Amino acid sequence: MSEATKIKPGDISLVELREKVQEQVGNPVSVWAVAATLESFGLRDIDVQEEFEIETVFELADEIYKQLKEEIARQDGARGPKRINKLKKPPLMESAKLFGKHYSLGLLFSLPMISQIAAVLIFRYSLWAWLEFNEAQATMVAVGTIGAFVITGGFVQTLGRHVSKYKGEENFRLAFKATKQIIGKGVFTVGLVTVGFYLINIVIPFYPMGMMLIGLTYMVLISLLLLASGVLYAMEHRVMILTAILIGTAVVIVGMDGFEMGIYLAQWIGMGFTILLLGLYAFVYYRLKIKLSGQDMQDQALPNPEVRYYNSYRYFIYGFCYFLFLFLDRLLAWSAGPPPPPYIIWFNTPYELGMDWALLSLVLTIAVLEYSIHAFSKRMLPVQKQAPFMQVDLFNKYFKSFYVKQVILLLVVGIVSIGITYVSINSLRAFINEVPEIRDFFANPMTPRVFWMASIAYLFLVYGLLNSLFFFTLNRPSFVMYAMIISTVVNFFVGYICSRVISLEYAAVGLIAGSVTFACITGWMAYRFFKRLDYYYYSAF
Amino acid sequence: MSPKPHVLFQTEGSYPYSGGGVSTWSHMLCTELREKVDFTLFAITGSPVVETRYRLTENVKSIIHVPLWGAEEPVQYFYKDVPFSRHIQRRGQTNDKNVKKYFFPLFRDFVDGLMNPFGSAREFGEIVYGFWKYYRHFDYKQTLRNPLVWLEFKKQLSQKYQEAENLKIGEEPPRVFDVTFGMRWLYHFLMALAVPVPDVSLTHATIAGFPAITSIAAKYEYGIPSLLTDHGVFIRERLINVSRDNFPYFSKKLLIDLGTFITRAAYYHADQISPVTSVNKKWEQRYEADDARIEPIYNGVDTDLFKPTPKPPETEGTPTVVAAAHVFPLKDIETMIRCCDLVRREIPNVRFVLYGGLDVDPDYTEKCRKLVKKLNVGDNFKFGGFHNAPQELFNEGDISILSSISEGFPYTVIESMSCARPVVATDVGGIREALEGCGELCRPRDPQSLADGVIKLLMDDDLRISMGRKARERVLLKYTIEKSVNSYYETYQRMHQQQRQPLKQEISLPSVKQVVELEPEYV
Repeated sequence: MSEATKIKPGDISLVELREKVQEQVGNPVSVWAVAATLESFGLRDIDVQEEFEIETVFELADEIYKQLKEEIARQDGARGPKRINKLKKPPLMESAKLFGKHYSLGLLFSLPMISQIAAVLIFRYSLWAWLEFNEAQATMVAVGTIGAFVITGGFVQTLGRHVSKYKGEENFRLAFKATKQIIGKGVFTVGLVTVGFYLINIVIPFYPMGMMLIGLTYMVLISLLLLASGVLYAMEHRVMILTAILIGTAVVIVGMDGFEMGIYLAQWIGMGFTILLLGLYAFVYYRLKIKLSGQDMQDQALPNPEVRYYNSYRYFIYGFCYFLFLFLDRLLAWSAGPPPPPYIIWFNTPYELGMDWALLSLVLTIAVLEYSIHAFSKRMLPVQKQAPFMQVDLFNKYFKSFYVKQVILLLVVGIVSIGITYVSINSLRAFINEVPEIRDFFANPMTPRVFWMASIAYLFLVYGLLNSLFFFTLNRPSFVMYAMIISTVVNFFVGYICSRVISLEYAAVGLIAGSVTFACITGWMAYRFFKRLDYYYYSAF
Repeated sequence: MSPKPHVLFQTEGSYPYSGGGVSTWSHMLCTELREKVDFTLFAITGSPVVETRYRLTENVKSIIHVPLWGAEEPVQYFYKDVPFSRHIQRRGQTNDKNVKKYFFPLFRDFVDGLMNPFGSAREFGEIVYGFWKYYRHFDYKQTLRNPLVWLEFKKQLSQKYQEAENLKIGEEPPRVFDVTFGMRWLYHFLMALAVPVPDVSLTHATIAGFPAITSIAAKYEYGIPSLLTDHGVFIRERLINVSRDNFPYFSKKLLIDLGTFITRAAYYHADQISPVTSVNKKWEQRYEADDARIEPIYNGVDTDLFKPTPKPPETEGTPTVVAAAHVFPLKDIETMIRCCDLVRREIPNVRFVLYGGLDVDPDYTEKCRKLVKKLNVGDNFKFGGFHNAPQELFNEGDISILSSISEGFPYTVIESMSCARPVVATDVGGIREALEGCGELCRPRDPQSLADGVIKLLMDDDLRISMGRKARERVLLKYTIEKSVNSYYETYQRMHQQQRQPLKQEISLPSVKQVVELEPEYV
């Protein structure tokens, strides 16, 4: 700055200018930043010459920069975050409230399934269940259901991935395109598998053709229902799924009680109605969103197929394996003896009841994940902004401790859920003489045995899913995919051996072994993940 | 050698996917030179979802689209001829050993430069080229996702910030957020490093920022000459915008230092820097653009299209002031409204009509509307919205007005002049250079100064008419489209015929040298 400078820190106009700069930029990063800011106020060299007797805006910026830095240095915190001993944690009450909210939401997401259990208990039938089904009928419906879940699992996961990405970007045109493309491939695959099963059954008659056709019809309809629900899940319109399922169930009830059309026709019409409602809703929603969002780009295209498949395959394989994993024990148990099953797979009521019983504990436990993952995302940025980089370990430790707490919470809720489920269902024994269904339920000791095995397996599985959600959040799907592939293989081999060597219900030991494997692999990965969370967060692109 | 120059025309956030002044200028250039020059557009955008907004002429041979954000695999957009599976294969080659051997030394030099962005611009250029060359062999995303790179970045920063005493007065050390986001920004903003350079006669960057990375690489690899046009001043705008952002100190510093690093390297390596106004010089010179290479080329206006016509019946007999500006803070519309309030006290039937988009900054538009209401100038001040025939709007008024607090060389001023409508404008950017003697120059943010200019011109018919005539003559003499386009064409021709001397033969940094010696390219 020239000798002729007349600016003094006390000059009122300079003070005003300095304050204005500080108000705009806070702690300026350079003299240049101050100069550019002064120019953005409309200040020119001619103005600073007149008002401050300084030659240029740059010289004035130099003076203001120095003054601002000195002033900031005088203030506490001038050198940014000091070394700190620990990072602030949210108050317990706040966490409790958050838990209450998201745990309830997690339970809410299971409502479509719970509604079906309730419908069976109240009306004796739901969309694809009926208390009066004989074992042959139950076999075909069960095989159809399992087939549907396994075939669509990969597509539903892929849908979730792509639709939520585009939805997050508010790009409904591409979300719609991605949905149509994935659903199209899903429907094609369902058709292909159906024809394949039919033809195989002609060559090797696993089931009488009538039974096969019924099973395949259920499989197709449930597959379509799952794909349609998958779209709405990805769009986070879960209430609509519940509504459509309830309406479909009402159609079944009306069909059975009002028109006495028989269970098959009633359920098929009910499912068809649900699929139509879900599909129509998704279509109208997308069209409206595209129209209202005012996106005028007509020619938007999805990434080319090679890239699409590359980006999706991990999600697809995980989704496929996950549902295969969930149902593998049933397939193993139902294909084992004694007595030898009449056909390759034969529904076993006591085993299924044990699994359904355990499913209740799963529903109560899995809701915790909704909270954990929300809390994780919510804390991520504030904690990063609080933690000094020079103490980056503090950041990683914070989340390690967060993770441990989530695991403890999950274990507590899981164990309590198993206890509650066992006690509440077991208490129904009081009505064993009055209600024949309850008597049937407890008639076979296999049922509680399967309940205990499946409940324990589910607890490990949910722990693995908790880890998986962290990995998915930071874009590491391959961690989950490999863990799930290995666990499915373990599930199969252990389940096969146990169901053949000990007794059929010990197929559930395979489920336990698979779940423990899944828990161990993902747990080990989670240990590494949280140890270097800063890296995983950075590289989540 | 092809008889026609082939230009790699580099844009960021503008042509051909967005509207605005730079896009209008780019389109005009491509269209006017359709017979004489071929173009390959190199367009950096924020999103991968874009649509061409212009009808491209046949001399635009192709577009290399580089989306910085939102694409999981950006490589598919700018490596269209190479199957994606080849890139996956290349990821296999991008292993720890190669990353350590070839990338680390470069990265260390780069981080050093980033910490000292006013270091040697020549070396910065070498580093940019070294990275570009490295990515001919190895995958961009895979490299930056490598945990060792992250550890190296942390190590480099830790060394600098280990001792609080190393901090300058008032400097703040980074938080974890600064470093995770900082490294992500490097991945996104430097995406151009991963893009191959086509065989062209010259590169023409329309901004001294990230698109110019390709010019630097082309100059080192093939000796392709480069032209750089400054409409605004990239680094100045970055300083303003980033400083005002709500980021922590270190994040701002990193973003600004990265901009400084690239801008200085871009100016240093450009064969010719052609700002649209000589006013930009003072910033350019401070960022490594020496005077000998600065040669302004002024914007030009189509004088057949923007020609004087009588006022239409709607405004005939009403003193009318026209403005063509989007409603957003840089245009300081509030001052224009206050000026209108002052003018109507002298000329009660005066009418200000502002043509321009109202949705650029809806909050600011609302603020302006409230001010109109508060000052009760609703009868005198009208928001005309977007006008799709700009050649007509200036002729609706007696004079035009521009109240901006920052400008380059605005089209609106020379277009108004071409229509023989004198301009009352703030004396910022290149306005003085364009307007000298053909309008009234006023102090920015000073409604009274603007009002004095407006009143003076509206009250004095002779003065207004003679200034209008003079304005038209000045445009015909200095700012015609032909003149502007010819200046570019001459530069293109000269560079097209220029002997190429790849700078890679003169590399001084060992980290870059070893990458240059890596042959053959993998993709």
